[in-house]
Amino acid sequence: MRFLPATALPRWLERLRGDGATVWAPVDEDGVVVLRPWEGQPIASRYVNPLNSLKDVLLPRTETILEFEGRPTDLAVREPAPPQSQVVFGTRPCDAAAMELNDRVFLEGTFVDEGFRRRRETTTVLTVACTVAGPHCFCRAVGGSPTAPRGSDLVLHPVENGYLPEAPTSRGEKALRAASDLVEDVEHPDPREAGRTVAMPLAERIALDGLAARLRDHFEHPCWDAISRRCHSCGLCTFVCPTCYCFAVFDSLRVTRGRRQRGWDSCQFKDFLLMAGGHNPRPTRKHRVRQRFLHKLCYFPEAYGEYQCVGCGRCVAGCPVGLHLPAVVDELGEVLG
Amino acid sequence: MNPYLPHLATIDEIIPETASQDVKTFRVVFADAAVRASFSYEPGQFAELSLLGVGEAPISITSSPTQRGYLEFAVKRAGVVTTALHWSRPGDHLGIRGPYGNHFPYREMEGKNIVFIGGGIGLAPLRSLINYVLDPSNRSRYAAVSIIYGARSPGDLVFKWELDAWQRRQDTELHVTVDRGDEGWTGRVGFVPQVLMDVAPSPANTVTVTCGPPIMIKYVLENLEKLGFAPDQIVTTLEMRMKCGIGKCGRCNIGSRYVCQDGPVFTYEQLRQMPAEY
Repeated sequence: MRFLPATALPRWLERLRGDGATVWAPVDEDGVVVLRPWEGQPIASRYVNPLNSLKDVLLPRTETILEFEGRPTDLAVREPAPPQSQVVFGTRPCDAAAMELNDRVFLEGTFVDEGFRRRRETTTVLTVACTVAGPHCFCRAVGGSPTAPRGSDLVLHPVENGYLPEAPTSRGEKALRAASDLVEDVEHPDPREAGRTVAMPLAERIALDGLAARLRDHFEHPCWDAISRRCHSCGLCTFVCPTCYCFAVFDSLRVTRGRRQRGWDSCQFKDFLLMAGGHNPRPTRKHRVRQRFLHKLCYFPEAYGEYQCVGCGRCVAGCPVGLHLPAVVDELGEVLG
Repeated sequence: MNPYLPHLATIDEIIPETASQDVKTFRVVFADAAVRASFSYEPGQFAELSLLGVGEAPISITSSPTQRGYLEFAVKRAGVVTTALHWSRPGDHLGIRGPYGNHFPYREMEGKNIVFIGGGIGLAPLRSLINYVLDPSNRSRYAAVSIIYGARSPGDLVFKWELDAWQRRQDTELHVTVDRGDEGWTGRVGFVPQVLMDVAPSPANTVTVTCGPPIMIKYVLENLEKLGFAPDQIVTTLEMRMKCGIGKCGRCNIGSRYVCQDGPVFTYEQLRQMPAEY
């Protein structure tokens, strides 16, 4: 088995950056660990999950989808420049799995989202497996694991003084080749096994079995009034969620040149579905809160056969009123049995 | 290919429809001859109309596939994009992406009577199918065709030039009504759902296709049930806020269905199994 010493990490990332890629890594900013474009600053090692998810890298907050130029009677439209290659170090298995859920939306079906595909194919995801779970983590309750390779190009299993790399994809293998002189051979039992024994108390509490069917049968259940009453429609849960992908599209124009961009949007906002004529199919908080949880627990599974949640815990940590997936599943379980 | 890149098209003609000009029909021609030749669509589909620098809006294609060489969109001035579109002049460029969505079940409707029930600008999507069915190359494949169409006032009726043409046809029954007449109006006065009860079409071997404001749809559905129509004999097409039109932006879902991909055309039978969030 291969072993990458922790001390070799900056040298390796420096080489990947030297190849022209933007390297992202978790860095400590005033006590908060955030994924940032890395330029040699100290890489954080003690964190459960960065504040921002892999979504920041693969589905940027805003991005240009086309550019145009000309006058009303003489227009030209063109594609934006192709994305630069990127390497993300230090993302967690839950975030990597989330990107595979997003792949299903953007790459499957009649239409392929070309912008997403191009960025996805030029991004290498170097995941660091988890040896501990935070108080907000519940990946195991939604089919994940602290050491699962899903969505990663390379999984680095932390051991004493370094990492045991596992490369599920050729992109990951290629990234590791840049460290071939830094890697040593060691004897070690299967590091994925370590994931089984990581304690994850929140995951134990979440009972999803049969819940989707009960939610469908009780769509109009009054519990949604009570649950949604405390929501502020701030949208935080949707923005921190690595699997929430809804976007808005907006144009900007400067005399004869402009661009069309997309940016994150949230189904929790009152005007998300407001139509020009004034009709709003989801006019109340109850409609919108129910939409979010049913999308994750019913609609997405109906379309793709899996929950649209990876248990990263960001909504648990962030929601100012505790209206996060584990809490709502708890409440629904109590009411719907 | 980037699905968000629109084809450029030129506005060939702008036809004011209503007296207040809040509805105009835009006849557009693709700038690129290859696109002109390859763009094909089916009645009931929509396109994303793009005003570069302003935005996009999903608009049903109101022309019929039997009309070659151009597309028509009837657009009510309602929001940012449609208002800017109304400022356009012939010769201006706009962008078109599509066609998107499913279509009216026009093959399954062959051999059947068709009752079209439209209200206001809701006639726009129906018109694509009406002209498809009435086209000489298709008419014999369908049984009786009747059209019930209403608007708030005579000035709010759209496609008046075409209503006259439909009226003159021997093989089509047209009932035009307005909520309130004016001094020049000699036609029928009454709400569409009431006219439907007066016309009282038989449900035997019949399909109805309806589109209009939500309040009209509500009572039309009730009355169709009273007349004995089963939910799977009632076809409608929905309006919904959209951004991408291709099932990616997460906006237009009703339950697990996306109006842009699984719709906009649904039977009442399908709608009854979906959450009432439309």
